[in-house]
Amino acid sequence: MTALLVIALSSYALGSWLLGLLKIQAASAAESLLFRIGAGLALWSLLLFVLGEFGLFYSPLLIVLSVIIALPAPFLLYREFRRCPVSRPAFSLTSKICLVAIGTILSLTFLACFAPVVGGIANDALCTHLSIPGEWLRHHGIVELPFSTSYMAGNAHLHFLLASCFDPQSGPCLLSWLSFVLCLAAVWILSRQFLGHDHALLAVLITAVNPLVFRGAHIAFVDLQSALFIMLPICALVSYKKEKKWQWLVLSGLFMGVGCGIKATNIIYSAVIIVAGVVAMFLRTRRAGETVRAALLLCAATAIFALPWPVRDLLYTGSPTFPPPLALYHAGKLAPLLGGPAPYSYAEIKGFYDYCLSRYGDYKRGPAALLRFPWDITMRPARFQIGDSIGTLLLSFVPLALLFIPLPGAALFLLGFAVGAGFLIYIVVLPEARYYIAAIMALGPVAAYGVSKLDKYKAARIAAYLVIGINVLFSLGVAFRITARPVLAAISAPAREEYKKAGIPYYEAFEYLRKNRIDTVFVAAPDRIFYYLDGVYEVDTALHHADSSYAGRVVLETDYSQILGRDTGIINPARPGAFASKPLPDNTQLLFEGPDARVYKFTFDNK
Amino acid sequence: MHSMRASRALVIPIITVVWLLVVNGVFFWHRFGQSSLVARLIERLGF
Repeated sequence: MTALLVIALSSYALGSWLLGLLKIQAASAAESLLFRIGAGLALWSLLLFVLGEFGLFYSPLLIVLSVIIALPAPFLLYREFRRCPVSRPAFSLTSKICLVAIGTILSLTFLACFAPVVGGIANDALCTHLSIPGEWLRHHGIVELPFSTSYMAGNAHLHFLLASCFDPQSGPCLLSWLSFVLCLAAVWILSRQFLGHDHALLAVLITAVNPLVFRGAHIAFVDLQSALFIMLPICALVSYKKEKKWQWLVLSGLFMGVGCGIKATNIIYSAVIIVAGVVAMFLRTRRAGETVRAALLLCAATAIFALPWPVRDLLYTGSPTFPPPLALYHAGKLAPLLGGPAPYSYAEIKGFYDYCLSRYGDYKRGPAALLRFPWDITMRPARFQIGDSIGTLLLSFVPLALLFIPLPGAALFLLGFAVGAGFLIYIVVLPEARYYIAAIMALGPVAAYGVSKLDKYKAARIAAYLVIGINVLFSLGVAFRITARPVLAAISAPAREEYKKAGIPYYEAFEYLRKNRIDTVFVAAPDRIFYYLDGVYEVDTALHHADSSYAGRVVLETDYSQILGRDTGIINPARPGAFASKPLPDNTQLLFEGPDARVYKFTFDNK
Repeated sequence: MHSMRASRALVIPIITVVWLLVVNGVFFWHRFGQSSLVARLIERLGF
């Protein structure tokens, strides 16, 4: 909880400073909160990148720094809310029910953030988004790691790293939750351009109850942070449209640039935002010169703030992104600018792409499949790696909104943006459902617009609200199912223990090390699963040629078959140690033997 | 103009109700219908 408070307040203070520097002010309390925290998060990622490159990742330093930055935030908040008071719209009964549904989703996902992290390396959150920042913190800087995914652009990982300083388990999850809340605020702001309070709230509801969206709110995935840095630049462009101040373009560029350093799909989203924004601006103003100047400023700001990660990747890997496009290999091997070979081979990258494609089975992309995609992703979500579904609200109401052409300009912009970005991601990247979260968020206001227009036809209105009601109940059911175990683990100590035991590979061995305060342990190979270790681990590939100089060293030996996750089917509780393919090395004393790992110590007593 | 409005007032609710029935019918049938109580109920009712 401290992580959430300190990061939100410090971001607010940093963002206030930036908006003051740019001499721009938000028009409403919601916009003020969104832009300030968003700008602060963007600045945090740039600041942390610099600190990391200088080897200054020390928990106490980062905690003190963020607390100091957060100190003026309460005063700034008070001053800002005096300037633009929070409006209290008179919501209808339907809207109050919407608020209860949104509140339930937010509460469940918030509580679930406090569950312990579980899972093996098959869990992306652990494998990449938690272990990589954990390793950087352990090495006090953004160092080269023996995991190829560590070359991914890592602005979100830097946020997770900062949150980990306060609480390595719930801190990063709470950042995802904060991003979820801010995304909903952005949907509200975008909707208010062309919808009343009630229907803007409906747009927020349509987004909030989407199982694809809220299932990322309590885990350390980067999808909601990525979506936030797509919604933020759109909101900043809306402010530019209203005020015509070039500073909003710089802010929008900052958001897009930082977003490109969160997830590679943000590059496509940002390109579409720029193109759609420029087209919309030209159609509205019919001034080519002004449009070109705005486009150049937007592109330049985006490129500048996006630079850190591509430059770092070019230095270390020879490719500006991870994974590198296979086309880069046409000219031969990758050549890191710092010299030496690239940290990964063509075969590894090809294997990675093949693995990604293999997850779609016999699904083939093509023009017909593309046209059917909105239907397929709704009806057959399992094909697109969702885990749940996206509900039916978007497929129900976005096409119906098209019955009321011409759409308002802002709705048309959001629709064009979502379709354009969705099309490019489908063609260029993959039909992976998570990659479309930002497009789905942009469609929320369009769907709500469709519902608002149906209001004057009684039969249509009844059918629409019936469908919304059924979807909300369905989504609440999904939310309870997804969060039940994590919430129970968050609030009950025995349930927490059981949850960890069932989900963390080598849990007993990690617990043994923790309880016996063994703070340095030797392992044969580096592994992201060691995120779970409280103490330090050192990699020693020569453990099986140990001599007397190893006396006293404690070794953790793990069963590889368990690394993907705790699979109790493989563990044989009746015969502990059944996993061990080789006997204990000579001159060692077995300290602990768990179902999938053992701890021993070199003794050399006989020498 | 009046007849256009009148036909719109008729057509839009029909399109809406049919579309919502199709989308939600297929979706919830996929999710719950095929292997559940609903399927057995439909079978018992003789459909």
